[in-house]
Amino acid sequence: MNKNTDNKKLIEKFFFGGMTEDERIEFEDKFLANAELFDEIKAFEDDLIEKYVRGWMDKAERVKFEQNFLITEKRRERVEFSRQLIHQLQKDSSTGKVIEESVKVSIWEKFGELFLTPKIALTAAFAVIIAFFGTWFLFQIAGDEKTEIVKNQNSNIAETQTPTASPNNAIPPPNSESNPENSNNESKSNTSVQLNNSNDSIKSPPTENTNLKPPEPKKTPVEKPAPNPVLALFAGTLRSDGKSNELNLPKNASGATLRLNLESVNYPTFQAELTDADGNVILRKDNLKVQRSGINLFVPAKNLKKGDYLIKLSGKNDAGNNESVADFQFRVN
Amino acid sequence: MLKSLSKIDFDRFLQMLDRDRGQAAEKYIALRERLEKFFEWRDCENTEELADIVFDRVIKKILEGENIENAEAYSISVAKFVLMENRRDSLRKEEFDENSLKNISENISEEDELKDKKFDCLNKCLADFPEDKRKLLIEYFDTEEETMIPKRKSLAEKSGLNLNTLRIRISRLKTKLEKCTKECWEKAT
Repeated sequence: MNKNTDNKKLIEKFFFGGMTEDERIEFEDKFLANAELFDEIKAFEDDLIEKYVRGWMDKAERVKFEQNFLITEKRRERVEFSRQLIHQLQKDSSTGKVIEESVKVSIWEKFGELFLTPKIALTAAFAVIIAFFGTWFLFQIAGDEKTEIVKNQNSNIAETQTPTASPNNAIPPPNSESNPENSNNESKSNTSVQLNNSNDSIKSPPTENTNLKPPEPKKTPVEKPAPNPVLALFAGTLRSDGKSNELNLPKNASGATLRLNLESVNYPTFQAELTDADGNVILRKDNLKVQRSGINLFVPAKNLKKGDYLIKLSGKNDAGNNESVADFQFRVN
Repeated sequence: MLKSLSKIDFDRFLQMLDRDRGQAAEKYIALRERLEKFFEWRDCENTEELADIVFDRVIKKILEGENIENAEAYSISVAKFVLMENRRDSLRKEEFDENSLKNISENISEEDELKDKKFDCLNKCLADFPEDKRKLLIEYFDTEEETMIPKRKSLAEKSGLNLNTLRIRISRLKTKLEKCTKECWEKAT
């Protein structure tokens, strides 16, 4: 357990640039010689990518991931692959492409899944208790009311007459068989009957030949993810042909990569500041590194509404101060 | 691999990894994957090419009669030199090349088309994937953030694994799919 935790911490440091060069070399030696550790790192990397593409990272994590991980084309490609794979698998799942066995149990599994979430499980347990006592209370009242009516009727007829109308005939009260376990079983079977009556698609176990409706997709509609566009920008306001740089952002794209091309590279790291037409800073990214005479700046789609934008690029000098390097302008259509 | 190296040369290297040919092939694939990831995690783009260079050099050393006791460890140390050389080369190449950069913006629509092809390839690879493995992938990813851990734990139990082993298995399946998609895409383009 401790070993796992230690490994996890090391792997996190490894991916987020928290290791010194010596630590990194030592860690590389370990995973190059140890297939188990290597597998663990790869699985961790996949988890990270999944968290990113499914929007499960908070803002700080996302920024850290974009600045430290999404810095090579190869990794961006891997992220894109994962995004497409997950979308496709979810699509397969929601359209019932899953093999028959899985579909058979899916309703109950999905029902059971509700109880896997602690919040929902607690709420559900509370609801069951309320429902149980509520029903019991209603039975009591109903039983009392009936008894009273019968008593009144009886008193109106004759004191000696044996009451024939039993409250049990009108509304069955909780009896000796209705202990919580039995009532649970009963209510389950009742639920099952109701489900069967209310929805033909789940009346009988699905088979390959029956014309079944696919299970209701429980997730967001799956669409083919749009590829994230890449826009190459050169310092200055206009392109050499006099046109402005225009970015056409597809509806489903998660963002765009802006390639900021530099004429010279005099700083180890850069800061990019994205401002809108009113000069409001929309996004700021530090510690950007140069790759092949340029910087790849990934901007999430939510930061790219229609309009004109300016990127101010600064380089960090030896004293740790930012010096303006270049401005890049573009328009989002 | 360099053209000058023959199949026999490569077989000699495999033999040094393991006497059993099947085992040797597995060890080679695993080592190659680790080296490629080693380069990838060091921010290299041309990881396959770099792995090729490593194996070419190791095989050449074997042919030159170098006494190599552990071919795997030797390959790893060669990989570190290759990485250093590649870094130096990258720094040299970081001279401004306007023409090649201009091509990036011109090729954006072409890039989108290629991405569509990649998506088609992914679908093809998924369709060709063994049913049980595809089902495992579907079930693994069929979750929301809140239910992820208990659901995956339950899936792991159902599969007779612990959660960590399941994560690693899924990671391997993803790697296979990625490889298949890449090969299909390369053929298509």
